[in-house]
Amino acid sequence: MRQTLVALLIALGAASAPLFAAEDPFPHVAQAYLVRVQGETLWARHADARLPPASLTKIMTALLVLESYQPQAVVTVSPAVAAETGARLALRAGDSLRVADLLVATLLRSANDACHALAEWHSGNETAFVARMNRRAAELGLRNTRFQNACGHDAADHYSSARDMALLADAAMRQPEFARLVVLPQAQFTTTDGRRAFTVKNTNALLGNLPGAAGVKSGYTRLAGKCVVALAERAGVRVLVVLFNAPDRWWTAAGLLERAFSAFDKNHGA
Amino acid sequence: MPTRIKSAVFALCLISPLTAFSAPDTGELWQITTSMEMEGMPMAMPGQTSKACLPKDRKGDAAIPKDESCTTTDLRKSGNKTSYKIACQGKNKMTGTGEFEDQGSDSYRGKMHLTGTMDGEKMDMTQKFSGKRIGTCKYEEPAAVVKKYQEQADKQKQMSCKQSIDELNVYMFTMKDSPCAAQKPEFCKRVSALSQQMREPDGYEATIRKYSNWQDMMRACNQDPATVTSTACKRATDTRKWEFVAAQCAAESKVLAKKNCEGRDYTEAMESEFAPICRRYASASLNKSGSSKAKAGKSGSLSGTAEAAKKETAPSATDVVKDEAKKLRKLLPF
Repeated sequence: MRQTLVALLIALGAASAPLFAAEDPFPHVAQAYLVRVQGETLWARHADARLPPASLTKIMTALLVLESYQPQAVVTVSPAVAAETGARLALRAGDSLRVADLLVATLLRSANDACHALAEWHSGNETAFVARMNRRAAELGLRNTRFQNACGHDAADHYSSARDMALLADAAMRQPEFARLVVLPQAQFTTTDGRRAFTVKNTNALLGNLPGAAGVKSGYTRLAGKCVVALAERAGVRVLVVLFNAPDRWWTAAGLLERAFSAFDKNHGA
Repeated sequence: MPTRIKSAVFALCLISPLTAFSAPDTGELWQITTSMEMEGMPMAMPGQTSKACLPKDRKGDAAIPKDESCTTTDLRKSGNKTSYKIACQGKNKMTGTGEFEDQGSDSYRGKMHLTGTMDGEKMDMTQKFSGKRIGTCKYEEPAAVVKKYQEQADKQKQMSCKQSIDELNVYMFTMKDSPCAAQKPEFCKRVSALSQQMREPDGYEATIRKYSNWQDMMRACNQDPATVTSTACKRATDTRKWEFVAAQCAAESKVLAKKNCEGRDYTEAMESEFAPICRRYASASLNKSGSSKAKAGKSGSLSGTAEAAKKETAPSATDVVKDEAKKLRKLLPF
């Protein structure tokens, strides 16, 4: 009886896996990757593996903020926000900034303090915000995603997958403001009192270097390695690349995007 | 239509008068009517009327309706009657005899009897013909007409070959029994000029854009396309035309990419003059095994919570289900 049930579970598990596994022609480029052309998966490796997503997490943070967007709302930096580590603006407790500017810093500079400030503004505290993130992930059908913090710090049970990140990026890119911000090469803003000025440069190395680059977000932590969700569009053809732990992420992303466009052209007689 | 009738129609055409287009005065324009009766046919075939420009006085066999494959012999004139023998060559050979009678200077009538085989069937037919002078025309000897057509065809061929040289239509010079074989040296002279132009990267790109089969052209003229490309690549490298090198010069690109792209920061490489080379390198390097093997990140952490994080591996779908099954086994009471 028990054996039968176990066999049944395995069979069910197999049935829930994709019927047609995508090709994996580049097994050495990343721990997990997914390449989609016009929404269809072209190549993939371990696309459903649960891996630390680093700052790709901030795509969800930005999505939630944009879904109840109040760009002119003013946020006062808390001590917890000022204590953030990693990439940051070095905000000080008491600084006041507009939500729109914090969002810019979150997406372009991947600033953890700006991201954390947005989470607190949105839900009162980070814990409540993370709960919202996980609810939204479930709504989007992200079956291999679980967040423990708002900004992508390595943490036990903080994970996502290449496939889920592609779905999340799709949802975020449907927000026009998100799509506008992720292609900005840089931006300037100040605290609301004008005393502190910030210039943030987009960390996406493909912008301006790869024809058609249209975002989206990079991430890095010691455990996650170098990650990126990269989107490019040429003549109405959209290619999305998600890389988890890709040591040469920009070279790899650029190469995969070019190859995917070529493959599309080849298949469509261009 | 029965075969015999089809054959008869063909035969009628065979012995129809050779029509000549004409201008007034040097010949006589005749309206010629022919009709045919054939053994076994229930009724006579309808007559055909055509116009022909005949020599003045209808000398020789000019009045006899026939085409080029037919020749007449033993023409014998007696009074106003002329008898003759006729033989038609080609696929359907026929022979026969005939006679015609002049009815004054403006008309004649006659008939001929032909036998032979046509499409494997025996043919026996009688053709009646009559002519009526209706005006004047410019008469040309059939041989002269043929010569004229031949000259026109030669001229046409010359023009076609010249056009093939102008358009560098290599097929016209390499096809079996090429009609333009004599002009091949001229064609190759043009190809040679083109290969000179291709020594420069701009000329090379313009040429390959215009002539997708440029390599066939070169080979047809015993020139090595690889040498042409190599010359352009050397020139492009000397003048630092990296876009050209990246697009056309695989060997040079590889060397340059190794030196200027490999192991270099992507942004830095893209901001350098070698960006076109590096852009292609990005694509090519994907297949390098081992050089970019994915490993866990090793330095720098976003936060102090990194140590608490558990490294995730990449389980297969079956592994995940097996794990879940193990957990379930523990919970099951049996």
